[in-house]
Amino acid sequence: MARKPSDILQGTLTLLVLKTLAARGPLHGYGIATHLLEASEDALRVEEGSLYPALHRMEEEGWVKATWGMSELSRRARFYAITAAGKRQLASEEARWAGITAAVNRVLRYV
Amino acid sequence: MSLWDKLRNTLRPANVDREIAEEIDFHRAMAARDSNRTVGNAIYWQEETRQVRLLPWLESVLQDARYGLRELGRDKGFTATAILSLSLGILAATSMYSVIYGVVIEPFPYRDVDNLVSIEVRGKGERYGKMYYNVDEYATFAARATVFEGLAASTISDVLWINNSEPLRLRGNHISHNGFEVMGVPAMLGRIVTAKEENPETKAVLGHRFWIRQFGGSLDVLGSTMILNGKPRTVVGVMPPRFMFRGADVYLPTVYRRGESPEGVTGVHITGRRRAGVSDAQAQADLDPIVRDLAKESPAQYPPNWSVSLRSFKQSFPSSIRNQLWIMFGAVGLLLLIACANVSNLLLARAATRQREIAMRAALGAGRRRLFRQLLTESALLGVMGTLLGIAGSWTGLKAILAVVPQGVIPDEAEVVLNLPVLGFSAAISMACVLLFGLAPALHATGVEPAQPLREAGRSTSGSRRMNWFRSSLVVVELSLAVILLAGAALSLHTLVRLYQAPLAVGVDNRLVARIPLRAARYPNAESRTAFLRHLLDRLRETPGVLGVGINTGIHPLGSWRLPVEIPGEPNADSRPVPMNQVNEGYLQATGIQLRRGRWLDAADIASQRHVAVVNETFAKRYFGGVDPLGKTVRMPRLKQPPFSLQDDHFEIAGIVQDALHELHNNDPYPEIYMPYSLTGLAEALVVHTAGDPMAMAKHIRAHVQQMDGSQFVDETRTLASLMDLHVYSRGRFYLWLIGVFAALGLLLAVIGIYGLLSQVVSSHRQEYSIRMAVGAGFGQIVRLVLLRGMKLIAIGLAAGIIIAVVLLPRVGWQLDVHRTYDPLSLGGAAMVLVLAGVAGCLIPAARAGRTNPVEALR
Repeated sequence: MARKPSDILQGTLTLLVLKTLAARGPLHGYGIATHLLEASEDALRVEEGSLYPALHRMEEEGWVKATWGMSELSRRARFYAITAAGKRQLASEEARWAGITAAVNRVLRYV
Repeated sequence: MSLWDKLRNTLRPANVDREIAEEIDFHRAMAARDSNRTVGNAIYWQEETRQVRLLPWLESVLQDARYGLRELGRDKGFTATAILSLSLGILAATSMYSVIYGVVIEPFPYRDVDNLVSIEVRGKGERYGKMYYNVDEYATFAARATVFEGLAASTISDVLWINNSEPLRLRGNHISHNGFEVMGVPAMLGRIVTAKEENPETKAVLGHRFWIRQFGGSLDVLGSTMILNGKPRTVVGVMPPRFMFRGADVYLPTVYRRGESPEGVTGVHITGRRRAGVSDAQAQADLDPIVRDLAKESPAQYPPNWSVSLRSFKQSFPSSIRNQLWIMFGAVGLLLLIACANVSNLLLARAATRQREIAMRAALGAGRRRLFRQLLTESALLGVMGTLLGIAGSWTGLKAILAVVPQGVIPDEAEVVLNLPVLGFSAAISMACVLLFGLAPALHATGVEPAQPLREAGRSTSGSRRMNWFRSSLVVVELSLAVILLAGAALSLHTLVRLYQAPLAVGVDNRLVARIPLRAARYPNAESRTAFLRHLLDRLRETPGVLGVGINTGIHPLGSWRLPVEIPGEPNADSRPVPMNQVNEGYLQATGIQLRRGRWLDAADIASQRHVAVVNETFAKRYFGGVDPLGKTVRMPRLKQPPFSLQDDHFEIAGIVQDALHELHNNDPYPEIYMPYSLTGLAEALVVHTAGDPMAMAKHIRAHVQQMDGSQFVDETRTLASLMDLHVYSRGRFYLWLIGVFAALGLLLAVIGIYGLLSQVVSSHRQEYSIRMAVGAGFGQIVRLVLLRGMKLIAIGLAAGIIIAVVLLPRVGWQLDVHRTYDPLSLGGAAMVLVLAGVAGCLIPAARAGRTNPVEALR
């Protein structure tokens, strides 16, 4: 097995991708990467080597559904759409993220 | 995506690969359009994605397997030798285990056979207890014991069947009417008789073998009537082939009532079905008071200090060659070890030539574990192929073993086939073999520093010193195991040869033997029996072609009833039972036994039932030592009891004959005593010395008996030679066959082992030989150099093997009836065979070394 991103990063990537798909509708991988870059104002740059395996893994989990469709380059691209299970997952990940940031913030406020 | 999808993707990865490639391609194209974007390592990305879609572990196994197959295909000689070695071992082990499984582990088809038990009453320190009971005792157990669901009585009886007015003797079982339910086997045709049956004694159930033999498997037999022991019975069912309880032709359901002996049955064997969960202690507590009362009623029937226990069905009816089969299984284990050592050795030799490849792969980043797994996968491939071939071959091996199994030594119910448990066993041992032969080479190959073989740059394939040492030890182990097998085979051979060569006092050629059991109902006493037999003997003597006619209670040289002897005035005489022969005056003439001193029994002794006896030389020596036994008196008190029931048990010794009965395994003579058959009329074994073909006399015997008594049958008519073969020689032949084949295979594998090792040594020392030759060494010197190396291994293997054999054989040898367990002749023979075969294996590589071209040194 090759190097894995740490658990929290992995979880965060899932959260970000699901959120993107929920907000923007079906997108191909490049579109997701672009959205993350733009929405974070160039702060979050996701490696393709992490993004695509994560997309396939999420497909395996049933959180997204992949279909081949026509892209702006007028060639086939793999589009990912969030599923009902994905929305439930998104909700729980958002809650978890909120919990973690709140906890981190509490620690930072201390002193 | 389910596991199933992943499995499919792994087996056919092309679709997934195409999808991923297209996705990457698209991403690249987009990135190229937005020229400010860069793309990461695409190979890493592709691999990571693949691992999600596929089963990475399975993929690497498949990859290894494909690679392994290619590698194995490249070296066909190696692959064929390894697979053949392994398949021979698996073949032998699978065949032998099927026999063990079918005969020893799971021979019986009865329902829940572990709860089928016999009641055994055993005296303190006795090896065998009382297992037969009279009808009253059975009735008592059946009425009082609470630990059984049911208690069945069964017998082995001679049953007379009048078939179209021809009398035939059948082997019957007077089974109690609940017996089929206790055994728990349904009928194959028709129905069984149950305890609820009305008039069970008018019903009969047929054994499968008899049904096929006598009725050709016809369905018409159901509902037909058979006259059995003079009473009509309706056939209601036929049992399945494996229901062979007491090996009966016909089962005669019988209601046993206290005080009766139905159809002359007096003694029965009791088989009970123990209630589930009853412990041994509970059973004992339940049976103890019952046996105590029975022993009080008839103290003579029970030993003092008795204890009662339940004996499992498997213990009650074991195969008489059970232990021997386990020994043979052990021999197969040795063979399998040799095969594994051989394959291991071949793999090591190959690993040496592949060191550079492996080092290269390690240098390119293959992890140690990954390499290890790959090498083990190659071994597993060899294992799978060897196993499949071995199992395919064991069909034949099994048939070959069954063809030489002596008659009557395995339970009739036993079904010896390649079934699931057997195949599971084969799979398990081949896994063990793969680990055994694959681990060492894989560990060795992956333990090497990658740089070293690369630096050697293909100049030498000799491998490390440690590895050479290891490989030589493997060959030594192979050789020593082969010595053990050879020693076992030689011992069996020597035993069998001695058995065949043992001088027999009794003539075997042109002798016909037959059994004429007179039925108690028709011939109730000594007088009536003797009258019949005397008449028959007279008629036979006058038949043309008959040179002599004898009658006896037993058959020489196989044995007879044994009873203890007492010498009046000698209270400390040997109390071991002595074979007793009740014979006619023509017995010596018929058998060829020689009179030594005094006189033989004459017609007057027979006619007037005189209490005279003739003893053999061993008897005279054991009971009288230096004293002349002629005219002395001996007593046999057991003759006062049934079935003999003599008034007087004193006999005066009139003569001495030669020894004619010997122990099978060491040829020690038994003491014997002969007396007139007219005393009891219980002799039933006829022996006829004929001028021509003895079997031609069979029909005359039957005709005479028929004329004298139309309802009397003649049974087990055969030549004495065939009877000897069955009872004396067949076992020894069986052992020799099995262990001989195992030893031959083991030797072959060990020779292949030493040949392979030396071949590699020679090819890696080519340069050394050519230098030696260039400076003047001749063909002979080089050959001797190689041979010496081989001889050293052979000598060590031989010494180790002989030592183990000397320690091991006495522990198992007596089970195989060998005449003595430490036998220098056999050991020497085994050693010689090994040395000759081993040297033959060394000669080819040695000759190849001797023909090395000296010019090679210069290249």
